[in-house]
Amino acid sequence: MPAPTHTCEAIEPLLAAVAFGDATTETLARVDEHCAGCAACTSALDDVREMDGVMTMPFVARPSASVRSQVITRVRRDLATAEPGRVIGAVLGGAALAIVALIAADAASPLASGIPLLVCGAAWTATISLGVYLALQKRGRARWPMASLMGVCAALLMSFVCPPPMLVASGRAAGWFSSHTVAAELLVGLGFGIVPIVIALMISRDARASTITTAALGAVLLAAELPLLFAQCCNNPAVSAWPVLSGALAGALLAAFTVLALARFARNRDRSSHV
Amino acid sequence: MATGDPADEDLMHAYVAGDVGAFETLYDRYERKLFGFFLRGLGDRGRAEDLLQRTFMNVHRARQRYRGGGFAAWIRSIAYNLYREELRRRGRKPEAELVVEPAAASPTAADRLDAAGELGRVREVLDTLSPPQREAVVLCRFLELDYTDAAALAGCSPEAMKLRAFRGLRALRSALDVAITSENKTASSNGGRSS
Repeated sequence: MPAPTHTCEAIEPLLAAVAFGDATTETLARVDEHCAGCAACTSALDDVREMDGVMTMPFVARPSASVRSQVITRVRRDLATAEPGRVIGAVLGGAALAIVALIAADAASPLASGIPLLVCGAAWTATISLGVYLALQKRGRARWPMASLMGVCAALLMSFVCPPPMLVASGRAAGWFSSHTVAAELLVGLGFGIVPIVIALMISRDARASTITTAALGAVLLAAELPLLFAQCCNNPAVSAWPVLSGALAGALLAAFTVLALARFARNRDRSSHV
Repeated sequence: MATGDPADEDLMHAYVAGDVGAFETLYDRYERKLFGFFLRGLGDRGRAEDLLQRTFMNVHRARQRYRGGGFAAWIRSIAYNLYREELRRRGRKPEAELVVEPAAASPTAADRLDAAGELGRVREVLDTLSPPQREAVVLCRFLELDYTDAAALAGCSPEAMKLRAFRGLRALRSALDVAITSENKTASSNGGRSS
């Protein structure tokens, strides 16, 4: 037997490549050359090949049929309850965010005109949230947190321009700033907008928690602002035409998106029940 | 998978969009492979069925986080994490005896019986390997991951993974030889005492 041309340690990675069938012609030649003079490596290669044959043997063993039926039943039931919940969550969550944003706008913007503007903005944001959700779902990437984030971004933009007056007033009372300055508006607006975004990002791994949190945040801020809003509406009952028209258009779109979402859900459910 | 069948990734996207039929197709594609993995690795049919169920339920719960990469590697990584969790839970102690049903592809009945016996012993001696070698054997042979995906899970290079698998299979062969020799000695001494 001729002496091996490489050390066994150096040839071992090449033996692995040969044993697992992905060696190049050059590697094969080097291994052949080494094994011609090394009984240990020849034996190692044979052992691994033999063992690999046993290990890669396919199984005919199958789990009992009840495993499959249990998994499929649970998934079907879960999807059946989760999907309408997502649509409703998209609408309500978006509307809640819009209400928060519009309360801020209503208090400080010269365009503000009370309840109609509030409803109009809520409808638009809910429409955008649901539209984004449906577009993502169409591409197989249904993510309510993404749609929710769009609503939060809207709140951020609004709050940059018009921070919630009660927050500003509280800040003033606490002595954080002496007057209603641009810097104060930006500061409060930033906090108002960034906090829900951070929350949404942190919990975006859980769609249901994201929906509940954003909606709850909107509800809390709405409750805090309602008395002030009511007082403003009583003082300024004039209603301009554009929020009403715009709100009607958004409402129509929202209704269409909702019908589309529910029809898609019903179609998926029918398809899966016939498989 | 026959030509023209939808890719796993397309099925996953359809399922995320709400198509349960796509999920059922994915289940049927991976059921036997993953069950084989759990059965080989744990040697307990009941636990293998339980972990198979949990794997698919984890896929269901994590469907919104699926980012469109290789589905096969993704579901296998979920299965592997459950397998490791199970080993930690039972403190690496083997439980029930492995009942192996070998493939019909084996050439003869005698070969099938031999292979079944050997596969049954494989699980028994798996714990004698070093942790990296055992991990390589489990990932590359039981779970049938390619070396790149297995290396990504184990945190090493594909070359290192290949070498670990080579050494692991070699060590497994030696451990099996020792186990078989020991069994034969025990059998012959029992035969001697009884005769």
